[in-house]
Amino acid sequence: MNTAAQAPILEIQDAVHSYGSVLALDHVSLRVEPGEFVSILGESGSGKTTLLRLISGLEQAQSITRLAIGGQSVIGKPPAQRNCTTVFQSYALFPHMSVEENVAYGLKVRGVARAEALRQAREALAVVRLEAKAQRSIGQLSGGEKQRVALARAFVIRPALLLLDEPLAALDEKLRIDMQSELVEIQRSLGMTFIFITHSKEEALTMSDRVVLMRRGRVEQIGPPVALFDSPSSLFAAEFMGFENLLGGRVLDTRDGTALIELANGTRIRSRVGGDQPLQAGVDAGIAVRAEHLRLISAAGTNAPAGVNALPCEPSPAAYRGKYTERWADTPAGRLKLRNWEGKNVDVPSADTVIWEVEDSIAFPA
Amino acid sequence: MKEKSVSQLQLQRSRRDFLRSAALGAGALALPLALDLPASRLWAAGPATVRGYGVTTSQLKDWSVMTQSIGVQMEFTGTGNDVGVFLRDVVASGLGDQTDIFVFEAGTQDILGPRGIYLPIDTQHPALTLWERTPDEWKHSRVVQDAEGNQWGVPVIGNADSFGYFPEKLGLDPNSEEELSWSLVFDDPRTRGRVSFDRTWGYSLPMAALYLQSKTGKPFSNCADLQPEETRQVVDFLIERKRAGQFRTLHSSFEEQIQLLSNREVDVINCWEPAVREVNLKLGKDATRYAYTQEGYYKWGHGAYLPVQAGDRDNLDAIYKVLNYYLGGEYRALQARDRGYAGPNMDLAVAYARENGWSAEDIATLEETERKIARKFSKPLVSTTTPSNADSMEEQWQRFLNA
Amino acid sequence: MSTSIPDTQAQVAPPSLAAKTPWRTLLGRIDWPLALFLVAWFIAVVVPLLGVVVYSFFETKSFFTVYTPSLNTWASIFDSGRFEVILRTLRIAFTVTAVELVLAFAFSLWLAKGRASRTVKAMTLALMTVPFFLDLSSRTIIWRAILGENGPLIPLLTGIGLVEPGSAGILYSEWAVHFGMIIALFPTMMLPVYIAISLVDDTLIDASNDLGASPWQTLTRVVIPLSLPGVIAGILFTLGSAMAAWVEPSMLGGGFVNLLSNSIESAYSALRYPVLAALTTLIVMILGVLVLAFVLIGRRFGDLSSSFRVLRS
Repeated sequence: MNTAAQAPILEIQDAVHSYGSVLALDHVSLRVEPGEFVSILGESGSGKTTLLRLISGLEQAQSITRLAIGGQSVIGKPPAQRNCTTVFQSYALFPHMSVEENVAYGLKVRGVARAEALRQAREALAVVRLEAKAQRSIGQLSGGEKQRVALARAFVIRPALLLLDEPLAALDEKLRIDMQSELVEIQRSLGMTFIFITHSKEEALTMSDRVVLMRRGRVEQIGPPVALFDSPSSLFAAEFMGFENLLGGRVLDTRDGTALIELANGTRIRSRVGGDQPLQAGVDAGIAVRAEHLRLISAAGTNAPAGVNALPCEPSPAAYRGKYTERWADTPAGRLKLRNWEGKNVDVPSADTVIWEVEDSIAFPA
Repeated sequence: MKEKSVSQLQLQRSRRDFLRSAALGAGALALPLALDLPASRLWAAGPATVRGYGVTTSQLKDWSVMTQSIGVQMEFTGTGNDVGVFLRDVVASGLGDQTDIFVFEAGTQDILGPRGIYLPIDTQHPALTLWERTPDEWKHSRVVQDAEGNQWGVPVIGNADSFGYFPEKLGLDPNSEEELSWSLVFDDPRTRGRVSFDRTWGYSLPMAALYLQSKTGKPFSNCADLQPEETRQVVDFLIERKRAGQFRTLHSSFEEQIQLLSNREVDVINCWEPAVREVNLKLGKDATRYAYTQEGYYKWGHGAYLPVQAGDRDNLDAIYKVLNYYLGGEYRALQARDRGYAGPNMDLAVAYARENGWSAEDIATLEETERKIARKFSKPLVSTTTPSNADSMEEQWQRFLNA
Repeated sequence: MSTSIPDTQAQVAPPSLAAKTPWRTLLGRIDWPLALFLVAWFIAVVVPLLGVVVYSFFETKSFFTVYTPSLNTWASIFDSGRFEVILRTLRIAFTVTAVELVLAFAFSLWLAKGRASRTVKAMTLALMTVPFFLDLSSRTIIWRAILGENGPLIPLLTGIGLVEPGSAGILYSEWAVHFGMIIALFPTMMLPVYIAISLVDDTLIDASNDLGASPWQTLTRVVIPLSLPGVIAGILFTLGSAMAAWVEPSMLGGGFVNLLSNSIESAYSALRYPVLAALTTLIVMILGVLVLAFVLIGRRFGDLSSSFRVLRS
């Protein structure tokens, strides 16, 4: 393992947690470096919120080998003694306090004098551009404003780690997109580590340094957004990342980060290997290709160009979708979806073969 | 006796009644009170019908027995035993316009008689055939006369109350009928801290006065209607006894009387006679006894009174027939059997029971009641629920409670 | 002040218009529901109260009210110890309410926010409402048997060495009255407090913990302020019921703990309405002073109304 000079800000090893018979976290491990913006992405029930509550201390793990924030183990410690704060999905602002009292709360309970706490609170409100509404009561704020107050309240105490639990889920679309960039800006300017829970692929990909994809209590894949988007390491990751075409076969041979895979009908496909697990010859594998990477040609029995995968096919007529067209192509390996962004001039007459670059197809263990 | 328990429970409703009465006091005197009276009632209904209003338990279970005997029908409207409500109904609602006979606990005649609301009883009325033979302790008692001796009513039911005790704990022979002193309640070192005293001032103050006057040898003008200075003396005595620890507790309901005795929490209690009977059913015959006393008894009784308006009615003879019926053997025997009440002319009840073939046991019970009543009534008695000094007695009683 | 301008304009305007406009303006400006409420309140509360005050200056002679103004009734209030009855009643009522508040709050906190399961919660709440269906006298009379000298309490306490053998028990004392009232009034305090606490959003408690507050800080800064409406309702219900207590002082106090209701009942038995009027006047005055003090103290120590922001948001 790489022993970095700087200790990780968060370290989780082998966390297991269940609610009754439902296993919420199944041997999860995670390292987060200082200053990182890490998104935890997954569907509801994937365990992402449980993971967040274990970190914040609102829930104690049933079994965990190591849980450290800033190098300090926090196993068994109450939330108050952990150097991290949470921005709740429902904002959880105190309705009996004004905006600035809400923000000053974390400082006051730490014994900061009232005047000083309010001064820092107003500074934090300035960061989220709400200093003008410091005296308002919570009921007078809009959803986006509440969101920013919750954020200010969480970062004003300068935690090592800020945990955000689907903070944008309750906002309407336009506001959500504005807040995405605003959150990233604030994170950069504060130089703070953010762990951001979301079920939205777009949010995770556009905002994060790294994405943790979770499924059924397990970490499915960890990596930078580009890696997840381009190199899913599993069928689930590929589906989640929007790969429309999924094929299955058996690995014949691997070479230079590519694998030669034989499909059920005998066709051989060469494909880049996704994720970081190497594929062994002889194992079953999956292949994912995006619809926009498939092209139709008229090969009329000639061999496909080298370095390109080809499957004979029978295409359906293109369906117009506005900015693009879509069509299906029936191949011996199954039905594939094609998408074309370049307009109608690429309609190939008497097309009988679908082809794609080796680089554009991803192979992973089935 | 049972309706005294009703009376006590009634007091629990006092707060609600206060609201109603406060409205009365605030000048609503003229407001007619909606009463649940039979709508079909007409004065032309005939002389054979008499309209009664009063305590429910003075009723016969079946008035047709009376109709068969004396040819008079009774239409009776039952009420509770709350003197405040009764006074208000009679005075404020002009109840006498529609009623021939009121049956109520003693005392209202002191207020309503002199004010001309009740009709004096004509003891010479031809229908009142039993008046001459009725003993003076009933017909001339304060239940039916006012302080000046004017006759406002006819006695209906009543008893003489003393105290219940455990003979065994006091070292007394359970079969003895010896007269005991009220000192067992107030003074006796053997009973210190073992006495429960009724917290109803109208009941307990006269009893204390009865004892105190015999102790000091200086009689009060009227133990049941003490002058303010006399009340102060009695209450000072009671406060002294309270501080000496004589009383274990004060009780305020019939149920409490029974509980205090059956749990053996106290050895002596000034209570109603049926409480002792109930306790003996639980603890065994003669476990507790009801005392014959040296100094006297608290006599309570219900009387029948006539509204002044009845004097001009053409059913006046029928009304007097009913008054006479209250003195007779049939009413006495039925009330004694059905409700356990005593009253005047118990001997007529015994005779009635014999003539009508009652069982020997029933007859023996009637005789025993007659004997007991006769013995108790030979002693000094105090009685009234509406003393003219009620305000100072009530106020001084508060002093006792708060001391 | 702003009304003066339209008014002057109305006077300059043509007579027909001038006659209508000020009235319309005035009528339009009145908050009718509020005005109606105030009028109804005045008729239903203030007028009878004034009547009561006037009545306290009469007296009762032989069951009839003497309508001659005098101070006799007021003098008798102090001579008979009824004034002490009021003070004693207030003292016991406030003590019971305070004890009740602490017990009910702790219990409700456990039930609403503790680890109690759904079944336990439902069962407990159902059990809490059972007493409402039983007569208070029959419930209280059972305590007499338990607390009395022949009851099981004394041997129990003697057994563990808390009291001397042969002790008379705590029955017929202020202790017993306090005890009985605390038992009887617990649901009265607990139910509104429980409802208020259970309505406090769990994520607010999570947020407070998460922001670094200790459990005590979370309790005092978040849970208590947010449940204050229920707490105040509980205090009012309990205080009112405790002031009106009748059964417990009679049955457990052995008649020696004379409280307001008993005193009122006794006065009523002699139809002494002026005494009742004077007692009512005194209580209203004392409660008025207490409320005033409460408001003044509240102002000094912070803005009470901020606790009710939760109701508006």
